[in-house]
Amino acid sequence: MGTQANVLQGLLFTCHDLYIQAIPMIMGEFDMKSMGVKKKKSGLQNQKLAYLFLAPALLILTVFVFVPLFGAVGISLMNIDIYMNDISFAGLTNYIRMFQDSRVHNATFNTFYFAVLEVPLQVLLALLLVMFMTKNTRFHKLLRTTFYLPYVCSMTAVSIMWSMLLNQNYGMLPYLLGRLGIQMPNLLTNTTWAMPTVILVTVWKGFGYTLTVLSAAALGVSNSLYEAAELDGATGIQKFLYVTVPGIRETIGFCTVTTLIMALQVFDQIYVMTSGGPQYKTETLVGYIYNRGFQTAPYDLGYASSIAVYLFLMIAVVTFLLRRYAFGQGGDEE
Amino acid sequence: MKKKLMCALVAASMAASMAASAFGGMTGFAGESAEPITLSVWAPFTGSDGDVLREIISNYNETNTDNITVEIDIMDNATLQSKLPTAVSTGTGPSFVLVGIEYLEQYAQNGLIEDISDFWETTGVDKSNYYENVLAKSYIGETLYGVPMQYNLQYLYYNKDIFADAGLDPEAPPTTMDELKEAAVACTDSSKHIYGIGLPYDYGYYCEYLWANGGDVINEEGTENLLNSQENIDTLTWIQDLVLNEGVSSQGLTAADADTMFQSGQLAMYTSGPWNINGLTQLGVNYGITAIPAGSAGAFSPEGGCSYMLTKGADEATKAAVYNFMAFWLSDATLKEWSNRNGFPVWSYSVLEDEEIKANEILSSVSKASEIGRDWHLGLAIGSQVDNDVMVPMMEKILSGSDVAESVQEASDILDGVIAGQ
Repeated sequence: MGTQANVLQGLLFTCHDLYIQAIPMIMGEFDMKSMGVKKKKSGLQNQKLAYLFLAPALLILTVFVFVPLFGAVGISLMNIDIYMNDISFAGLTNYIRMFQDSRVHNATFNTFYFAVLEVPLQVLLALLLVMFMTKNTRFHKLLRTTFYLPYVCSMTAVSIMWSMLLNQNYGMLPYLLGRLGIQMPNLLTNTTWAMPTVILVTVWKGFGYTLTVLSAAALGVSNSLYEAAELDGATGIQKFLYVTVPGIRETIGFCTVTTLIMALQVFDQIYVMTSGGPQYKTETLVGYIYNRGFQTAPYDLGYASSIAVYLFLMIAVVTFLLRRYAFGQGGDEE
Repeated sequence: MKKKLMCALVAASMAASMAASAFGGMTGFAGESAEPITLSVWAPFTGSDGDVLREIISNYNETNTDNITVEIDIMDNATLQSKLPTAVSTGTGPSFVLVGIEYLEQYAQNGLIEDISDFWETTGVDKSNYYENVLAKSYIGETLYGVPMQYNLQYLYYNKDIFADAGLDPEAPPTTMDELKEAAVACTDSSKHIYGIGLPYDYGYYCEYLWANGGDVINEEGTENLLNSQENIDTLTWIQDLVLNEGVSSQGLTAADADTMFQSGQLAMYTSGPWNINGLTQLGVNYGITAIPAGSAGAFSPEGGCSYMLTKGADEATKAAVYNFMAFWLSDATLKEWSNRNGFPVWSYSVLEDEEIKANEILSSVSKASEIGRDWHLGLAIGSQVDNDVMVPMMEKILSGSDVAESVQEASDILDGVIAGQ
């Protein structure tokens, strides 16, 4: 699920870039000379060309975003199960039921609990390491590659590995700590520790990606700025805080928003490591959507879709607020 | 028009060859010189039993004289269950499926599988050669929807070496709940990380204890909530005491954890199905199998099993070929190989008479322990809800130290909602 989300995210960013490039053409502001076209064409012709450029992006967006999105909204208004029998119009019944369902409240809380801890941890850990890796030396490259390795592993494989390592009965970590006289609780079946454990595993797997993106951005910060700061007597930390961080603010914003969107859709690691337990303490919204739609009778797709729409709206609002107020310049709108 | 004519001719020739073979025994009823046909089957056999299944199917592909090739696609059960309805409704599903009998009723109700009531007559397979209770699990009323592939219960596995080390007789496993507790306490050795018994919170692994003391969860029709009873509260208090106070079981144990712990010699006893026999034997664990111990109301064990089911929309040629494979599975040689290699109990009278089967010690123990099967809510449409929404969370709470009576009351309230919502 995570990989699919990444691929889709990549597609959307590509579409977004194409769209942004095509807008001036539609608006008649694009000079074809910049593309090597000798004769400047009329505004109407430019617009046609612009729409042509937009077509692939629009097609991809339609197939992968708009159709599923409107499909989910449509299904959420139906009484429909996985077998597609006895379909009827439900109106807002599924939504009313959703707001009365204590497991939706619990899953919403858990989803935000996960996101609010996981996203800052991942970004801050990556930032912290970037501070020591602002040079493109062989050693730093080796470190970046090492930290990136977990990211290319399957989330399922990583989750199984950590489940086995942490298992109190036969796991390596409790065994080694036990030899030192430290008794470790069964982290994944403990109501207090289950979610923090899943969060830490997620950070462990994902921070290498954030680190790579931030490092690339940090390497792009002009050396003259560092030299100027040094002339002003800035220390290493001051250079990082007042030169590097402002210089990569947009990238930090990008990492935060994309990590947050993925965090709000967390599923794989929880499905493998805790299945939402113990006592629903790690059940998140996507996990509950899967549970209602595909895992537990009566496999209520209508109800599952209403929760999916609810999650979509929540992600949309959070993303909008972040881009509007926290990382405003990260977008291309301004 | 030509296509229709060809289809009619093929169907007629298939029907003729099937009719002819009905008189000549089960093999070759699809026609000796039938057109080549490839069948697909989906199955959730992700363990070592899946390898055996592949081998048997491969053997079938090589030896059948009806030009039938079966291609098996093994996937985990959750994936299979989420893919199948959509695949069948869009005509991209498999020719047949091999799934747990708990899915049979909901598949039939929702039009995912075909009525195959003509199977016995068409193939000439003698249905009286098989245990009636096993066949009954593939029927809804008088209609046959599946052909049994295997039958199983839960059994008590015990590690003979740990029993001997604890001063217990390795040949005398516990037969009552009291003896079970005594043995569990005796075998527990925290200095060696050895637990007396594994008590997972998965419902399928503790319902036998509820039944043993006269409790239950829901009636067979799925209309009456039986959960909040004194018998259940007493049994669950007994389990909680074993885990939290006596420390004979690891806390927060899943069924998969219990499998691993028993394999590595960290558990003296646990209950599980026959699918572990193969792995335990290969690992060289010195273990025994016996029936679930009896409580005040007797000894019971939850029944389970898998059946082959023909998916909706199969044409006559596919149906005939699937019948051919199903008949192959019910042959003595196949059932014997399956039981011998995987330790699943024998449910065919003719295979029971086989000398090799009689001489197999583990199979004899399993077959003997298979006389206390009890039907439970697997066949109910709300079965998964009862498991996932009621029983698992309740046991998680109880095993984490919550008050038993309150936990049962809370679970009972949820069960009321599940029953009312069906």
